[in-house]
This record gives sequence, C-alpha cells and structure tokens, in this order.
Amino acid sequence: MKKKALHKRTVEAVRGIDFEVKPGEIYGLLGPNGAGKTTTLRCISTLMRPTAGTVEVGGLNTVSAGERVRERISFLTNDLKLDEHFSPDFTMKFFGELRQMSPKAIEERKDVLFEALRITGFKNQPIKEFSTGMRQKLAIAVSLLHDPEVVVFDEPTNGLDVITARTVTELLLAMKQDKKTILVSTHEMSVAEGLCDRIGILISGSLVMEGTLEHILKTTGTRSLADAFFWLYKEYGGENG
Amino acid sequence: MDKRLLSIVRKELRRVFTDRRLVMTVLILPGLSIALIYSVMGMITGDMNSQRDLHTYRLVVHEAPGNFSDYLEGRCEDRFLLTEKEDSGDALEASLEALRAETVDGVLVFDEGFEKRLEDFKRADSNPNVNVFYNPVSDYSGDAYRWLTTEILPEYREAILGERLGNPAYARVFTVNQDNLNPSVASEEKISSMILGSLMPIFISIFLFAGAMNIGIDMLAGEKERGTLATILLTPVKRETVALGKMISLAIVAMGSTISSLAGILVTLPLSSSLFGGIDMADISVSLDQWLFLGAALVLLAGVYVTLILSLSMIASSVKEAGAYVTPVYMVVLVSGMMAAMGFGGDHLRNYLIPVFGNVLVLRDIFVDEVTWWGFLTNSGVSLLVILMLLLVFRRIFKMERYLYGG
Repeated sequence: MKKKALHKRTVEAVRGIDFEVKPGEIYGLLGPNGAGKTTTLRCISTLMRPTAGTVEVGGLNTVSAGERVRERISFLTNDLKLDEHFSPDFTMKFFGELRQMSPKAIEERKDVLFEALRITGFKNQPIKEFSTGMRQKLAIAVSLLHDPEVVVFDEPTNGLDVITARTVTELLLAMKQDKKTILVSTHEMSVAEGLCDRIGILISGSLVMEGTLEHILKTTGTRSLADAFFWLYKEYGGENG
Repeated sequence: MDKRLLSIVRKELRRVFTDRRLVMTVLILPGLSIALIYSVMGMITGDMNSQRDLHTYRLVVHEAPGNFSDYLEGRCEDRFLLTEKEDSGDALEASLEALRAETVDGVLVFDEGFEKRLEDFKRADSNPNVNVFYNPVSDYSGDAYRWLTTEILPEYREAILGERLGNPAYARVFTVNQDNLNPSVASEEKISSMILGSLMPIFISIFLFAGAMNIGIDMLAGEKERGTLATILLTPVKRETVALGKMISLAIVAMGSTISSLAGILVTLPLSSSLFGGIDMADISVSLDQWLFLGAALVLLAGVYVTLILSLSMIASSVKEAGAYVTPVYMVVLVSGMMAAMGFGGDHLRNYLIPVFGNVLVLRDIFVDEVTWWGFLTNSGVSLLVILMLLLVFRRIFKMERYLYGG
C-alpha cells in the first residue's frame, strides 16, 4: 500500500499515509474518533477513491481494478448493515451468488462460518429479531463467506459483549494462522495490544508512528500503549486536529 | 445475462413479495381500495340517478297563466308538482327562501297580466317575460331549471304560437330527428373506447408512478440510510449491475401495483359504470395491435418513471429527502394525466416530444384506437432518450461516493 491523500467533500481526511500489511500478520490501525481510520479503510475496500496517491491490495490498484480487489477482500464496518427482513440463510446465499460462488461452495462455507460463530440455530430467523452481537457475528460471516485473502475490519469488537468480542478475536487469530492479511482499526488499546503484530497510530489524518508494540514503547519511552498513544497525541497536536 | 443481475432482481422482489406489509400496501390495497371506493361511488351515483328519474319536481309558480298548469300536466304528467301563487311581493320572497332551503326545486314568475299581454301580441312592446329561479346547490333544482328553460317553456311558447297561427303544426316549422331513432353514428364500442381513452391513461400513469414511488425511494435512499447498499457494493459486482437490477425489479413491482389498481376498476365496473358514463365491458374489445402498442407504451412509461424516481432517490441522503425530491415529479405526472384526459395536446406531433405528457397521450391514442406510427415512434424515441440519459446520470451518481452513503 502506497502513500495516499484523501478528500471527502472539502475536508482532507487523511494525508501522507504509507504502510504495508503482510500475509499472516494482523496490523492494527489505532486512532481517536475522526482520525481518518474509516476513510482509510474505505479506500482500501474500494468504497471510496483516494484523490491522490494509490492503494494496492495484493498488487492490484483499488481504483483501476476495484472489482478484482473486491473478490479478494473482506471489509467489515459498523456502517455496513444487512437487510433485516431476510434470514442469515438467505443473506449468505445472496452474497454468495453475488460473489459467483457455486451453491455447493456457499452451503459448505456457510456451515463452517455459522458453526464457528454459533449462528446455526438462528439461520432461518429474520435478522430484525437478532441482538447487536448476533448481527455483528452474521456481518462477519457474510464478509468472510468467500474466504478472502485480505481481511479489513473496522472496530470489529466495538459495542460487543465480552463473549462475542472473544469469538471475534479468536476468529481473527485463526485467520492469521491461515496466512490471511489482516488489517484492524480500533480505538481500544487492549485490542491493539493483545491482537496486533504491528500497530500504526493515526492522528488527525496522519500516520505518526508504526511498528511493533515494543518498538512504539521504546521510541516513545512509555510503558504501555495507552501512555504511548497519549504521548503521541500531544506531540502531534491531536487536540487541534 | 449476468447471473448476478438476476440475483439482485430476485432479492429485490423477494424483499417486496415476502413482506406482508409491502404486499398489502403495494399490491393488494391499491386494487382493493379502488374497487371499494369506486363500487361505493358507483352505487351512490347510480342510486342518485335512479332517484332523479323518480323525483317529482316541486315548483312554485307565481301569476301562472290559466292554461300553464294544464299544459304542464299534459306535457309531463306527474313529474311536476305545482303550487300556484297570485302575488309576487312577499310571497315571492317566501318562495325563494323555500328554494334556498331546498324544499322546492324551482320558482317561476310570470309577468303580471301574462295572458292579457299574450293576447295583445301585435303590440311590439307587449311581449311578456317569465323569470325562472333555481338553486345550484341542489341537483334536483338544477335538473328542473334545465328542463324548464330548454324544453318546457320553449315548447309552451311553441304551443302558444301554434294557437296564434291556428294550427300547432304551423309553429313547429320543422322537426328534428323525428324518424331518426339512432342519431349516433359511433358504435357502442367506439363510445366505450372514447370513455376509456379519457380515463385509463390518467389512471395508468398515476398508478404506475404511485406504485413505484414508495418502493423506489426505499430501494435506494432507504438502503443508503440503513447502510445495506454499501454492503452490496463491497461485492465484486459492477455498480451498473446493481443499478439495473434495482430498476428492473422496481419496474416489475410498479407494473404489479398498476395491474392491481386497474383490476380493481375493471372488476367493479358493473357496479361503478355510472361513474364512467355507463360504460359496459361487453362493448370493449382490444385488438392485438392495441395490446402490443399498450405493452410497449407501458414498458417505456415504467422505464421513464423508474429511472426518474431512482435517480432522485440516489441523490437524496435519506428517505425523507428523497420524498421531497420525488413529490414535485408526482405533481407533474398528475397534471400531465389530467391534461391528456381532458383532450389537450393530441393534435400536434410536438406534444409527443414532451416526456410524461407525451407518454400519456400515446396511451390515450391506444385506448381510443387512434394511435399513429408517427406519434408512437416520436414518443418512444423521446422516452428511450430520457431513459438513457437518466441511466447515464444514475450510473454516474452511483459512482460518486458522496451520494453513496446515506445519513
């Protein structure tokens, strides 16, 4: 992934970002609300076009090869919702068809994901009857239906209860074992500390630091990620951002 | 055809047809409510017409000539109930008050000395006058007024003139349609198609737009607002395919809603025919040509409406905002339908160039079996052009991030 600068309407949301996520790695994008995390992830997932710079997924440009990127990527964010009128079973079938999967492949993959996320018992119920956690788990199942090479999750555990959050983190770790390329945005320090191999800290649209947790602690001279984050936040004028 | 297009169409249709609330409001309720409303209105109108046929008109006649009562009785038997009054001062005011209160249906005031002045007819200034008063608020009074001024009094005048000439036949001068029992040269079928031609285009146009409006707004603005559209756009489907899938499914739903509404009218026609000039389904026959023209015209009209509604819904960031954009277009559809129903515009080819209005004109031509290739092709070309332009606009909007995410 190369440098990019983004404009949303007249607001410059992100500038000068340059980072790379490797297969088998979980990269955490950490930042406060409004730092530009979601905009960055939307560009990576092809939902938005960067106004300058390039974004590449598996060597494919997200603008010129958007469809091929979408074949390989999974993107999950709270802004994206599933039609509440349908059941998980139909939803998976519909998205499987859109991804040109065979009916057999859809069934097999659906069974695996529903089992892992404990949705099987509810697969024929309308989504509108689901709790927030259940909806989030189904959204994850839909996003992973096509067994993507690249997984981009925006605040995946936000608003979830402890049990559902644990299920999600376990799933991310399992995908890491499968050599998937995983990018997670979060503002929760514990998630970043416990889950990510490398962390990028985004403040006011700029990537101010990236590296392993040890590297960040050493560079900032702090003892926890939270301390490091606040130190960087002050250093880079986050209050004015 | 791209299988994913079919998947999107199937999903959209499933969304509507498996939602009991939507099935009820889009497909069943339009037909049911129209059938119910038109049946009730038809029965009320039919009942009013039959009541009018049996009604005895109550007239108050001031200063009536001696033979007028006999004349009226002979002319109309028991259709008029006459109350004669002598003076026209306070009594006239009382009669007019009764007319306002609808306790009488008409008041006739003959000039004082009416008969005497008739006898002095050779004096130029002696022509007497009759004033006829009615109450436009009352249907019976309106009927009585028309009957008195166009039939009863002119015939009474003719009878008096006949007496003067010594033979009633002399005053008649000539008769009209005495042996011509069927003056209309148009067939019942043609008359029925004329009535249909004035009514059906406006019904079809309005039902089609109304059927597409709410679902179309929800299909895009609603999906944007709820965040479900972006989820679909994350799949490797071309945005054009998503857009086209939504258009096709909306057109199908709108057609279904229109058919439901029209079925509501046609099924209840035996009960509501008095609303439509006594039209009889047995008199209506539609040729294969008309069916083909109608099919093509409906597809084009649905295309224009669907692309219009979806383009406006795409610009809007919420269902409420989309409603504000689409409502003025609905007004244009209503006015265009009414203008075409009233007979405006069919005499100039240029009117077929006007989107929506031209489409309704073509529908009218089809129903009255007067469609011309020039009118049809001109409007079809314009409709296709409008659809194409809106598709391009729609496609472009579909690629603009600021319009893709609601809220």
